[in-house]
Amino acid sequence: MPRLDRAAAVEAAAHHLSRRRFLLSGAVLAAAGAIPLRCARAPKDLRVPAGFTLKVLSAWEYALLIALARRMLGPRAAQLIDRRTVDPAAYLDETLSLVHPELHKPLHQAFAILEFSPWPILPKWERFTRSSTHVQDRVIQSLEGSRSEAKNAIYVACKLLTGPSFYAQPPSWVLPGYEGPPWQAPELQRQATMYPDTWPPPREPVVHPGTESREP
Amino acid sequence: MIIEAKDLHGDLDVTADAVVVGTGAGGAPAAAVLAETGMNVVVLEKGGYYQAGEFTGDQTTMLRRLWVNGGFLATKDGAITLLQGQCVGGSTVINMCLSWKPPAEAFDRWREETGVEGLTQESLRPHVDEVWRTVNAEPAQRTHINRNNYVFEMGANALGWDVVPMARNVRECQNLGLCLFGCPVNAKQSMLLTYVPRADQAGARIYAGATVRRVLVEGGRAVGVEGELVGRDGRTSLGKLRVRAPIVCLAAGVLETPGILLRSGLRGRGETAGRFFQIHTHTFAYGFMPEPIYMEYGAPQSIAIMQFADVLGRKGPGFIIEGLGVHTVNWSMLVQGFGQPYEAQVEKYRHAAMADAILRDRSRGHVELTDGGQAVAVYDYTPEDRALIKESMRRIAECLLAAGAKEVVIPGSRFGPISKREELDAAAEGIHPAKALQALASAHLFSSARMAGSPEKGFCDSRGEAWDTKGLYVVDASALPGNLGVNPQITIMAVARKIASGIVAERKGG
Repeated sequence: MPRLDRAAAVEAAAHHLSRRRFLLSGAVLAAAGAIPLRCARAPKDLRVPAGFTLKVLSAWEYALLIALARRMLGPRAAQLIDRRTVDPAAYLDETLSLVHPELHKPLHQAFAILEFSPWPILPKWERFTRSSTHVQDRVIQSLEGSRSEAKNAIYVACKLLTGPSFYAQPPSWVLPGYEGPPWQAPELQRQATMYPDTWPPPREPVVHPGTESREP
Repeated sequence: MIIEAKDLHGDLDVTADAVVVGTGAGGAPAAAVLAETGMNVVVLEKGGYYQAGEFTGDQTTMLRRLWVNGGFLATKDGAITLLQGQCVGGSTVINMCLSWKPPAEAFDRWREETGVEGLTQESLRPHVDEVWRTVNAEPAQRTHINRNNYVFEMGANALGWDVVPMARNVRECQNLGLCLFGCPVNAKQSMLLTYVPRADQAGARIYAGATVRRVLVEGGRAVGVEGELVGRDGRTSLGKLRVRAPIVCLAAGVLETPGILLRSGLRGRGETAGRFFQIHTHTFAYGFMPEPIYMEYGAPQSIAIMQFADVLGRKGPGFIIEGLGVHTVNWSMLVQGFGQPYEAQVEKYRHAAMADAILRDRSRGHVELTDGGQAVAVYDYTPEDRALIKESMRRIAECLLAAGAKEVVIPGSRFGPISKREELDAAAEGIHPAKALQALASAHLFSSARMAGSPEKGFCDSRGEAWDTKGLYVVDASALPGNLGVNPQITIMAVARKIASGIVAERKGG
């Protein structure tokens, strides 16, 4: 079978699998060593900072999340992550420690697939953390654009785990220009409730029958 | 008196006339009604007890303290983000204060679908009125409509759409915009400030950090609950918990209430515990205005576009568009794409305007237990609802363009930002069914142990009592026969009060 056809067939098969089963089978494949799983340590720039103890994530999962966040969140965010000014993986580890351990399972499975699964499951031949940035982007692109809801669910997980874990932390706020709670930005708070002169003046509000106050 | 588990120094083993599990929109009003009639009431809350002084506005701290799983909660397949509170006061502490009276159409639909009699608009009215006064619900004043919400008012006016200010349960709101993280100035009249103190003053013993695992049943009657005491972190075990009481009211939330039932082996005659689960799906779209919007400041939600609603006399397809301002955590989840294009949009936060649409889903799912006994929701959409998801996103984008947005983004569309109205149809049609899941959430969960006219159609009767277990009542949104079509907190409170009043009346009667 030509390579592209095989890829399409795998894609179609994955589409028909339930997302959970897809995650499970990918994780089993990884565990069985049917895919290139190297035991070497993560690249230096992805390692857990000295003195930091992980509660839920393993060292390779930490490395994966750092690598993933750098590609997902854009170049300026990547600079903050590289300097560990913002550490989304450490943040996520702490948050996951508040969640029942049983609910970690699908995440660990998704991480295993992303890190270890090669072509035809994902368009790479090496571990995600060892792939070039170009290949990493291709992998993310393949998840985002996939017709398989299972793969798309992994993409959603990537997004929901990296974005909030990064943008919850004050040093990241320089990127969107967020200044924190309103008492740190009283002028912006004031402006937010004053309409610009270029906007039409508001009309008298019409009170809706479902929301009217009982008091006269 | 509100007692935290960490202050108990050991197990909790007490007896009472009634035990109420949960202190949110269901549990707190029910506990207040029972306690105010002189009953000896014990109230158990899984989450911690936090007050205004501890609501710092810091996203990280407050998400971890007040939200289930620190905000990382989703359906089993990870597709739909679920937003639920976990603290004394429940989700009412972290909601957007939106207050709607239950629409007549919901009662008709419920009766038709489940055969439930006795849950009528008329029978609920006195309770709705009492709740409305207690939480001080009032239509939003002009000063509480921020730029973001006004963008949608302008857009709706330009399009000739039906737009109204929503009622909010606040006193002297200071426009801080921190509703999702607990109101630091006690403006929001949540359960924490209303029915919980009332229950407390009436003598109820309220325990925070008290996790209920199962209902105790003897001879077909509920006789209490048991579980575990946990620390403020929600996971450090501090001791065992057992409350014996002939009346058990479950209000642990739409996931955990059926979770407790299933762990207790109380599935219902028609396997109804956990079945019929339903939500209001929240869809989103956003755009960028020429002017700064500062959407995170001011009341996050105050304007509703009713043009597409199918309740309160409207004949639309079934969704309400509500302006929605968010902080960086939520913004980072909603912005589309990845890499540099994602970052470029994130950086336009100051000019971003956004709304969500509250869909009245037709789909149904269920709540089940994992192998380890955790409650999880399973939910998939009917083709009709998938079409509604697309339509709602398209309408939000249309409104933004009419208000003057330079470009708008429809999540899940294979088209990038669009700037012309003519491109809307193609962009909406271009929503990839799987990719649309990237921007779906729900804070409104219903019906996982619902009232019905027969045991085959629901877990409890119209009085909220389990068909097969005497003395066991469901008093939160799990008991509602289906979804509503409007934000539900007022309805949940009113139904809880109605059920509790029924318990009191029965007790007096016999």
